[in-house]
Amino acid sequence: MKKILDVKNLSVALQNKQILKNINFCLYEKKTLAIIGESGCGKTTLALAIVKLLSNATYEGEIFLENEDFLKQDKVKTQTIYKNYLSIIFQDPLASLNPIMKIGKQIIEALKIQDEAKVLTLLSAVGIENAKQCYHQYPHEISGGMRQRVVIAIALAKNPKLIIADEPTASIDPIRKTKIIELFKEIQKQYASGILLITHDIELANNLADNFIVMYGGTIIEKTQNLYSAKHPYTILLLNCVPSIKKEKKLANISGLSSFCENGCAFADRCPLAISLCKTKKPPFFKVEHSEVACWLYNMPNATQNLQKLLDYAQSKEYNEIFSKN
Amino acid sequence: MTTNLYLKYTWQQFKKNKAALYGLILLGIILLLAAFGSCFSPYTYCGIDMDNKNLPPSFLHLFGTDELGRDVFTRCLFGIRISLFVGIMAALLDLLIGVVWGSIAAFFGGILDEVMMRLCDTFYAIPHLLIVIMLMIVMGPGLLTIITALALSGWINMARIVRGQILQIKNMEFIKASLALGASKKRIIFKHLLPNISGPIIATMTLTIPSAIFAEAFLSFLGLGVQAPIASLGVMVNDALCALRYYPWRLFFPAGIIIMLMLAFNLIGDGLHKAMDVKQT
Repeated sequence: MKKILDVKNLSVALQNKQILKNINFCLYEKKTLAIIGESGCGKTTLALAIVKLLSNATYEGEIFLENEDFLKQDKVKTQTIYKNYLSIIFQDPLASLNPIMKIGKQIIEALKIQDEAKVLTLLSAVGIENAKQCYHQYPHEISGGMRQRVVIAIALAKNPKLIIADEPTASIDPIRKTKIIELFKEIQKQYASGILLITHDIELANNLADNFIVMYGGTIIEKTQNLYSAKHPYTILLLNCVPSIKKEKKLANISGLSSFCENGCAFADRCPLAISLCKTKKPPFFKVEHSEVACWLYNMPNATQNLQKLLDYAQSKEYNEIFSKN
Repeated sequence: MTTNLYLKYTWQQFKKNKAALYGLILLGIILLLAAFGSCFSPYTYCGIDMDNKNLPPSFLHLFGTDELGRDVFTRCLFGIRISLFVGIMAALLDLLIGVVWGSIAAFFGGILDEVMMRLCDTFYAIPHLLIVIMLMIVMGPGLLTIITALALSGWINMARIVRGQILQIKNMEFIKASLALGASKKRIIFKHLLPNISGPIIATMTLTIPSAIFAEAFLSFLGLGVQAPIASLGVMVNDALCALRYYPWRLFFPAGIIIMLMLAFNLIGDGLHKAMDVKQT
């Protein structure tokens, strides 16, 4: 399979503060890679770093697009890559459309040619029924879901090899969300592109992605193929937090504020299974079943037992009661 | 659906503001008079008639005549043209220099921004009158000098406003989205940034025009403005001042017209400011 995006040892600092540390992953064509994690763990920064749109940032490491290091490209080459290779879908669909330009014109901006028929097919392709009317409307005149589709249409206009979607379904209702998931799957079949999905919506990620990366405190702590057999304590607790529609399960949380341990594992301060080693030394990746986990737990012989304890603990009454009291 | 909703909306908001609407009507009347009024007048602005000097207002001479027997009404109409010309030219020059300067400073940021804005501050610190007098000496008095002088000191305000507005929107996602589509910087400035701040730019411009008109009248009054026989409102006020005790109407008419012009422009500018601001919040 062809690698579309290969990130090697990427570290990013913003104004002398290191935000991303040693990020390694690659994305293959026709695959979707989901990056999940809580707010502030560096997901959006990572998305912007990959496309070099962070201002005042210093980069270390390599980002390979089409077998060439994107970070080392000059302005002209960067612009051609922007034009032909990748698309990015931003968090807020209203903010990512120019408020005083009609929808049709904005898509033409992306297409680079005045081709109304192509625009209309694109708009219908993303599931906008009244494409002709939408063509002549301004962004504030259409609904949030439609705006999101327009943004996706703009991203698709150049037949990109790589689509980076940063929270594509934030503030969208479940029905539209399902449709957008279907749309993404359709796109992937049609354009053979790779999708880098950045989200904190675990359900969405699970539905759409083939591979998952869990981030915490600017580092990757787990790479897995199956989210529900995840191995890292953080991932397990995170999944436990997803509210269920059936009210059987109480709402859960992870204790402590999001604090990032500097020297060891970033999650060490909040981890109920943390040992002294966790706080002093960074864990390497261990291969466990379908996952690669950065956790010292798997260096020990009784890892599975410990993990079972954690699982029980996470579902136990006492654990959940801590939060109902607070 | 194809009508420009933004303009329509602004017009709706503008109409609600009665004062601004009256300003627009007042300006319309003044403009019509300035454009076509002289067709109905048998006199020219510089035609001297020594037999009929210092006449009071009458049906023959609506605003009376001055010390050389020139018809004050015709001269006032001509004065309005000069004033408007100076005001609009100065505002346009402000717009051109201010927008280019401000948008370059804001968009590229960093050291360039710092240097450009400090240059602005330095320029702003030089007294306005000093620049005018120096220019008078170099270029000689005249319309061109006045316009140059007004533009030289007026663009700073525009540059500051444009810079502030662009700083506000240049980090918005649609600009980043446009960058990610591979748009060039020039394209982003002209297609995305400037159209988005056209509201504040237009509102500032409508407020620049009256201040330029007043500055012209003021400079002409001091004798630094346009020279005879061209009539500008300020020159006429200056001429009338020495005869104020005996022929007060010669002062009142041009002064009244300056007041009305400025009032009209200020009301319109204020109305536009409010009408366009609502949209942005």
